[in-house]
Amino acid sequence: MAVDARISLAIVRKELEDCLADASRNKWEISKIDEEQQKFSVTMRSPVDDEVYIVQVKFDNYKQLPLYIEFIDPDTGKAGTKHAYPKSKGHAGGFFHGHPCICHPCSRKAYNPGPHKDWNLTGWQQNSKVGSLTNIRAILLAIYGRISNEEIYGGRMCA
Amino acid sequence: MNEKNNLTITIETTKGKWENATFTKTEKVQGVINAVVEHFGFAANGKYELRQASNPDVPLKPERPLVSYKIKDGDVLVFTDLGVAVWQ
Repeated sequence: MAVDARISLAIVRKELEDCLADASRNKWEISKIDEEQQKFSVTMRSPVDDEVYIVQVKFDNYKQLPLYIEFIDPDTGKAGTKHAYPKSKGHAGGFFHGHPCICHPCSRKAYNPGPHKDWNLTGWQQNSKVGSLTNIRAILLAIYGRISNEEIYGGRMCA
Repeated sequence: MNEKNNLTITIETTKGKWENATFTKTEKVQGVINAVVEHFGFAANGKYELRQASNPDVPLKPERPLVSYKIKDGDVLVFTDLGVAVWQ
């Protein structure tokens, strides 16, 4: 199962390069890659309510496994609290799950022991619900789209 | 179709750019989204939106026509897959 860390790193470097125009346009701050911990973070600000969201992305075994996507509380630095997460509302349905996690096949945290014990990590890119969210750019754009659209963004998951 | 009634724009997606995409000025945003889904083969069950590259903080409302946003020839729209809602 283990993917050579150098392979995952090379994929992530390329996929982050593909994000640069979006990062500039949407004012994202992309951290340096922590090669040892195999992670990086992206800080985004919602133009709806000016709330800051920090998306931490761990990429061990990527892309054999999906990314482990977590939100970091900008006030406390704690990972995975409900206060760190945005909340979905309206017609676009659930994406930010109260687990809390991104409830989507692109998010490793959504799998067992998360809310989707019915999904298989192996072959995650063939999950019928994955859509085009099979690379970092598409995933970050989906997250940003959902925190910057007042019809589907409900503020922080927990005030 | 009278060319004065058309718009030729570029649509950016994560699957590539659709350059010289032509729509009537009165085409609704949802119609453009549908065309992009078909053009690039995005999933039919997805949730999508469009924004103007020059105004990326504001998603275009699906029910409004392009002309209502003063979109003009050569403008760039950014198409985003918001991800299938796995639970409602």
